[in-house]
Amino acid sequence: MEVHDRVQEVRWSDGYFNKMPLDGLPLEAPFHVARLDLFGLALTNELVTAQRLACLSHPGINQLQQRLVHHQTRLVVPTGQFQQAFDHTYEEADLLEDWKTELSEIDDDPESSFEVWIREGSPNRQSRLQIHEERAPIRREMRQEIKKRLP
Amino acid sequence: MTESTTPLVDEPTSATSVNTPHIDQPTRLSPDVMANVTGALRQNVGLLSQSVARVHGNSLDIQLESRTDEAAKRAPADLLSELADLGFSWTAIARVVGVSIPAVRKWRHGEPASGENRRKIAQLVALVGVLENDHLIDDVASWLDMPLAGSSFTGIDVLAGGQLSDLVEYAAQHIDGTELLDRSNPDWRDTIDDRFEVYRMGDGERSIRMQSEVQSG
Repeated sequence: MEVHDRVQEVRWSDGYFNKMPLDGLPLEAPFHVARLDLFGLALTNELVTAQRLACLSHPGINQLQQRLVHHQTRLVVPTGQFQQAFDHTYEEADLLEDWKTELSEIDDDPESSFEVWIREGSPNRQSRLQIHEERAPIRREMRQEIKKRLP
Repeated sequence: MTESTTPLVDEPTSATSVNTPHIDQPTRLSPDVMANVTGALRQNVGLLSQSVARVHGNSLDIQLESRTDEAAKRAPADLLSELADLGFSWTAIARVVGVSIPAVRKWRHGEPASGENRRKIAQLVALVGVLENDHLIDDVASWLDMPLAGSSFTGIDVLAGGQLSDLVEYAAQHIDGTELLDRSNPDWRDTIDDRFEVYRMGDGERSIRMQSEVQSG
């Protein structure tokens, strides 16, 4: 990530394809970009120790994927397709965050207990998340499970 | 001797009935007049329909306002807890209210919300009540998660745009999913591209491919 000049919005769709604009970060400089040409895997321990400044919204993740795929392949995939293909993973990430927030005081390893819980059932909850209509019932199940586990 | 005089008139001097007119063809309007009259009638009905739709829309707004006033008496943490119990995600609630997820988390733990945000949370609770009670929608949270008109937009997206009464009209089947999206996000069709489709790969996970690959097998 680096500081970048603020340019007209429209110019992001016909140029700067190796960059993802990040406006409004809580930093001194008003405008930043993520460098897609420096893309690579981050180790888990680096993620835990790094200071998190902001999170992308779901539409933001879709736009990042669109720019990244385009940068690497020159293929433009509509953001709606990314949403359709991966929204169940966004949903699972939200559930995990909620699980960790609620149970962190009584659970030393909430990631593992979540992993066990989300894979329970047949079909398991992780698979059921792919069906839109199943998501609200799974959220309710999780809420009941959290209440059961809390003292 | 006087001879009585018998009137010589043996038939009335005036007609006792009007002759039935001979009608060989029914009276009818000329095609031009007919087209003009029915056209005007249709226009009037259309205007009336629009006018009634406006009144109905206004009355839905008033109904929601009234129920929002009632819900707003409760604490934000209590309202959020009810929404979560119904199956709403914090992400969805944050989007509808127009704040970040950490802001919603703070309210859940009892920190005060601004008057405007408190009202927006109450508005969502009120809407759920209207949809459940007046439009018999079972599991509103799940209903709002469903994609509309073959797009990736959902009822939550419509709510995030502030179109509450439009969503109620959709629930009442006065408008369809396409019109709902047209009202809330006129550019929604730009996000749909028939050249691509999402499908399930051999490992069970979803992938994206060009449509032409389907046709060629």
